[in-house]
Amino acid sequence: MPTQPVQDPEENLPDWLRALRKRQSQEPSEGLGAENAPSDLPAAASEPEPRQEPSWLQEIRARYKKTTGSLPATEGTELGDTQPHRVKAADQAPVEETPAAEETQPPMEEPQAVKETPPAFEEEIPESQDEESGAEETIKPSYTPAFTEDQVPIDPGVLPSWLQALRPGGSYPTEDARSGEMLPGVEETSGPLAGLSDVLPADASIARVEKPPVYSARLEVTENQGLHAAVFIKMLDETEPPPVDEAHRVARPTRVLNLIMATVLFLSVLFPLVTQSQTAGLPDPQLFPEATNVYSLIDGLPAGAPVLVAFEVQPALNGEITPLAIAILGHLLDRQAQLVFISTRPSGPALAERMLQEQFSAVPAVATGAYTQLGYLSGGLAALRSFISDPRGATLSTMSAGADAWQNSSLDPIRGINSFALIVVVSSNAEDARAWIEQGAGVLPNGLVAVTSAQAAPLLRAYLQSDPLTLLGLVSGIQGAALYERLRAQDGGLGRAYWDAYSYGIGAIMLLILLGGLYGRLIRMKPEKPITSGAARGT
Amino acid sequence: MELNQELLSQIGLLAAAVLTLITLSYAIGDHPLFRLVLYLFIGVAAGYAAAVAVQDIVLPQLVFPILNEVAGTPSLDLVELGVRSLLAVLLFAKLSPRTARLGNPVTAMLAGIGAALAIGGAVQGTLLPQIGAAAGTFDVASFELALQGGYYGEGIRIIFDGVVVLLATVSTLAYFHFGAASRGKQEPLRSIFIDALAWAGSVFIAIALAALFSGVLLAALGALIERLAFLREIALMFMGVP
Repeated sequence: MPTQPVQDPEENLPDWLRALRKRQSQEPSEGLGAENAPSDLPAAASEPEPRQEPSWLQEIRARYKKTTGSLPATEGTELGDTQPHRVKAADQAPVEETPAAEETQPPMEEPQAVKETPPAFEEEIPESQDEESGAEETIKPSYTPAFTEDQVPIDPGVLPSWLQALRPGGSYPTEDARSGEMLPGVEETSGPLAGLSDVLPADASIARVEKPPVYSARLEVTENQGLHAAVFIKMLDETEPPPVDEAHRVARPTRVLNLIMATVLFLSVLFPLVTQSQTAGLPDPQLFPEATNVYSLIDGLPAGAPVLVAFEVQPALNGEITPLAIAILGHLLDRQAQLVFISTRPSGPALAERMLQEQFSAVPAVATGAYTQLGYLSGGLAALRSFISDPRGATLSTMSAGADAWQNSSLDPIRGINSFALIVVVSSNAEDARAWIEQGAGVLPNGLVAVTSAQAAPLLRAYLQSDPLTLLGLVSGIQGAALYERLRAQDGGLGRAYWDAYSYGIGAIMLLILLGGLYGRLIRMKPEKPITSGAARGT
Repeated sequence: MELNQELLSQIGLLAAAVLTLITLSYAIGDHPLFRLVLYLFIGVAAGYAAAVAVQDIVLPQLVFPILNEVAGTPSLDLVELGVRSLLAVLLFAKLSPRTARLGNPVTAMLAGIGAALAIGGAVQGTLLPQIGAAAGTFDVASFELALQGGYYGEGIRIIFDGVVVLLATVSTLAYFHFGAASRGKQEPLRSIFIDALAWAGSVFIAIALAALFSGVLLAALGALIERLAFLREIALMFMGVP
């Protein structure tokens, strides 16, 4: 770094300013007393002798002269700007000053208070200050100082009022916080910049690499929490995931097995259908009293009795339920029941109408339209409850055609849900039938009968034994169709036509389940092959 | 041009047969045609439901009454029509995320009424009758009659039925009992009695689930039989066999 000799700022002072300062030095009380100096400054403090310096400052100057010769120009300039003010402020400010003391004018202290200045503050006083002893008059500063040391009556340890007014907010360092390495003029002792002065410290604290503190990762749990965690871990340990190699070995022949099972099932079902065989024995009605109850209830209906048929059939299972529905509706039509159809499913009325037209178009009641389609009952459970409470007040889709179905004179006797002699729920799933049972509980003293798909029967069987009884009879699936046709001594029905295929199909399914179980056992008994790298990658 | 009705019917039957064959071909694996048929079925079902809702519900219950009111021939009371229209508009606001909050009251009303009906119906139509049936597990009157008449086998059957039902009910409930007594610093364990009952309950639960699964399987088998019978009829029809 280039260095320049120190120049005293007093050297560049113009003549008029020198004359002014000389006059001020002669009249010190006029120069500062009116504006800056406190009015109660003692005379001894307001007129210090130019060569009188505190002893501590003289010691610093002496020590600094021994170690360094000259300071860089920048340093001198900087010190010329700041350091005199710092020294003066330190000289005037009390060592222990309180904010309350700042507001009021502090009393001047005795000169010996300077001796209480902290040593750290003494060390940071630069060497340039001693130059003012002899060469002060020759230095020409590049600025106009507000006051000079020989003019301002500085009492050590006391701040003047104007300086106190400049201090920011009362929070300021009482001493220089810089470390010795950051002080100007100190040479670098390590690294590539060793020997150079006025450089930023190379080993700053932010560059130091320290071992991070180690925090404990151990959870603080109570004994009770530990016990619960042990139970949870035990449960997790008991759940064994399937071995990867076994799953891989089983998945390989899945497609072949699917084809084999599909072929066996198709052939077992298709063969009886093609040959029109009727060799399988029909189910025994004695084993299905719930189906016999349905038959008895329908068979006991008087001619012209109104029967409500809730046709809750989904299109996907229409094929399965068709044989049974045909058997039930055929029986109802034979008994000359007055059929009233309704559905809470949008496709229900269309499927019911299609079945009537395809299967019973020759029946006089259907041919003449002596049945009623109330249509689609929209609104779910709320609409169903409304219909059960007041059938005539419910909103029905058939009203959209402008013709109210209830205007039919054949429905005049029907004033409530109990006016129907029987309620038949034809449902492809258990939920729809259960909705009718639950919403009709307590309202339907005669209960209802359900004609359902085979998948709904297990869930609805519980209602056959409930107390009070909420389901009077139940018929389900192909088996129910064959059984009902047998009860009616009917030949040529779809139930009987499908019964052989149904029986052989069940036999084939049982055989496949049995063989599949044996195959699975054999697979497990087979010694495991070592997993190859390709198998491990899933290739 | 007027299409022949019989020809249309035959085309419909042929299309149904082709779609059925494509659906059954799933046995050899998943393929795009099967997915196409699947989407077609779902789309047709949803479209039909929407058409029914619009034609049979929205138009006659809302739109036509409003048009009649505008035309000066009211078919509904003005207050009822206003309530219907307001509820419909609020529900229609659910279509946009910005106005969805307006439809919350209507949705809440629908959900609240549905939940109340479902819970009330379940309690009144399922829970209480099932509890009543379980409480009368042992048919004491029939048992006494059987003993008086000398039908001891029937009496034993009644007792056996009652024991089975009682054991099934209690053990199934015990299976869902997960409480365990604390044993100090040792891990809590269920009592041996509860464990044994829970094991028996798992057997009954397995039987119940097997019954449900067999029902689904039988329903699918019935549908398969009906479809294969339909294919046979179509084949015979196109072959000219009466």
